Amino acid sequence: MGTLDLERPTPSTGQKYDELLSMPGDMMCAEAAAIPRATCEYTPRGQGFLLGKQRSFDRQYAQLYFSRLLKLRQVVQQQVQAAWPGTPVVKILSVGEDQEVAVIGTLYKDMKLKPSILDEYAKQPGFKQALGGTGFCSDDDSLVLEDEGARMSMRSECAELQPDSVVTGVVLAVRGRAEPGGDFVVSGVLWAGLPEQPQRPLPQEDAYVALVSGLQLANSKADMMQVQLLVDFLTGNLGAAPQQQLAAKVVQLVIAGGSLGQLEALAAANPYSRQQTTDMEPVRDMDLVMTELAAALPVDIMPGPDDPANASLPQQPLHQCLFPGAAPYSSFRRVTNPHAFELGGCLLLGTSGQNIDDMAKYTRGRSRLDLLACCLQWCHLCPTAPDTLTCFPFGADDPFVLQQCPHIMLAANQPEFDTRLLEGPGGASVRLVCVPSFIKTGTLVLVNLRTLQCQPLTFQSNYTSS
Amino acid sequence: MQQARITDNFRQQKSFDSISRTGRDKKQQKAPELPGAHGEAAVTNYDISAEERLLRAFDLATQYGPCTGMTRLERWQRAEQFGLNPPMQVKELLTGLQGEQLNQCLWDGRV
Repeated sequence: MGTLDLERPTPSTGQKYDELLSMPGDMMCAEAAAIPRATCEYTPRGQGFLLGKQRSFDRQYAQLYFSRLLKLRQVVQQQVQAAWPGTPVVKILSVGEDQEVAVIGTLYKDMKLKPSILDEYAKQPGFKQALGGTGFCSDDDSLVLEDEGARMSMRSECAELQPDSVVTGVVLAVRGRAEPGGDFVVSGVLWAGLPEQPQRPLPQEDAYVALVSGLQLANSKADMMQVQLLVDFLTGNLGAAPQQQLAAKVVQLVIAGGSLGQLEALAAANPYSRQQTTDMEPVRDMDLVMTELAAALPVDIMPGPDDPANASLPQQPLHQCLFPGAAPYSSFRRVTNPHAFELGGCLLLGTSGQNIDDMAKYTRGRSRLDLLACCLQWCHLCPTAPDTLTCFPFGADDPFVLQQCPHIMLAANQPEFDTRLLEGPGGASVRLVCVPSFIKTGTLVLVNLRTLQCQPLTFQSNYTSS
Repeated sequence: MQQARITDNFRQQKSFDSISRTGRDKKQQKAPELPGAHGEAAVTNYDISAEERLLRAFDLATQYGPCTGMTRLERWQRAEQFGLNPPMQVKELLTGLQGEQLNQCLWDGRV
């Protein structure tokens, strides 16, 4: 991981616990010492991820791939004209063996180990089932390029286009010539690249957006003390003045999925038993936590991989009935996954991690943060949808194509915290954050909207550690 | 006073209007006025009108994308949105008097 460019906490002047060790009488001037919370203008930008009431699943996914190709082809074509001026751009059906051409299409990676629905019908269970693993790459994966007319298999002589580092569903341009055997030999590749990033006004003072994910309140291993410490910190009830001042600068909290998790007891229980009321305890716990948070600061809650929302992307907001206590607050917003919004001109885009987790299964040698950077390079939030990541069959549009480059991009529910500042063309800079799962690491990430630096805060409640 | 039931507030069944209908359901409700243009009869029937022939050519044109799962008008609008310049004649037919019957694609009811 190396050294991350993290923001260090501001050193406090004076003794450490002066305010906490003072006489109770001094608390009478608490009103004078009240610290107002900073506010920031919030604009939702994720309207494309909201599905209407009429959701027809009859459509096939070919329409989604076509929309994706058309949307990104224009962008890629501009890249091709800039980088390879003399090379003609042709469709796959017109590729000949005589000259070097450029072709734009969607990538398909042919993987032997990829689980297929047809395996269920195989007479003998193959070694695929025995592996049951999470890595499906093998050394003889091959690449195929597809456009709206035809497909062609490719043999890459270019280091940037290797099967291990790409996934199915990416739109790209390749340059090369067709071999007599039928393969297309690739000598150069171009991706869509980062989209344009809007200018953001620099705030005068520090303002933070807090990111957390994976609270997993339905999991029996969830530590409520740890969650309560998190809530107390954000509401300003933890620590002395320096911590309270830091908490007062947090303008928005994003709970990026995984707040409830799998309700195991409910799944196993008899639907008619009275046990149900106790099995629903985690849902009430989640509502209590959300009510405390919503009363203190604006909260955006996203659904995650095991949450009670639809399984296919884009996940729709969690239902209001799960939050009888928190829903009346206007500061409590139930949002989609993926989620995009703007805070005072700073554009944030995030997912609960399903896209990165899925890409990690089908690539080798790339860290989670690299995959997040690749999503930006390929200009698509989840290229593996709908191939291996379940997704709604859109017809006229692909809402996962990035239209604008965000300033902060996050993937949540990751195994560990990681961050990087990605510099793009035209002065674009994006803060990439992998938000770790709270139940595993107890980490809350604060991103400074002024400097785009991260400050991870870890909460621990066990005193038995060495 | 009659006791209020929970079923008064919560509908058990989706209303008929909110169920999205595919072309198949539509055919069962009313007979199409252009006979044999879709479904089983389309395979053997040569009497398809000139308009239907033109629209079938639009369906099979690969540059506008796949045609299954969308109405022809939706596909035309998508093609226009992506700057592919689809023929105006197709749109005029689809928004004209017989537009409703011509709106389902060639493979509707067959695939």
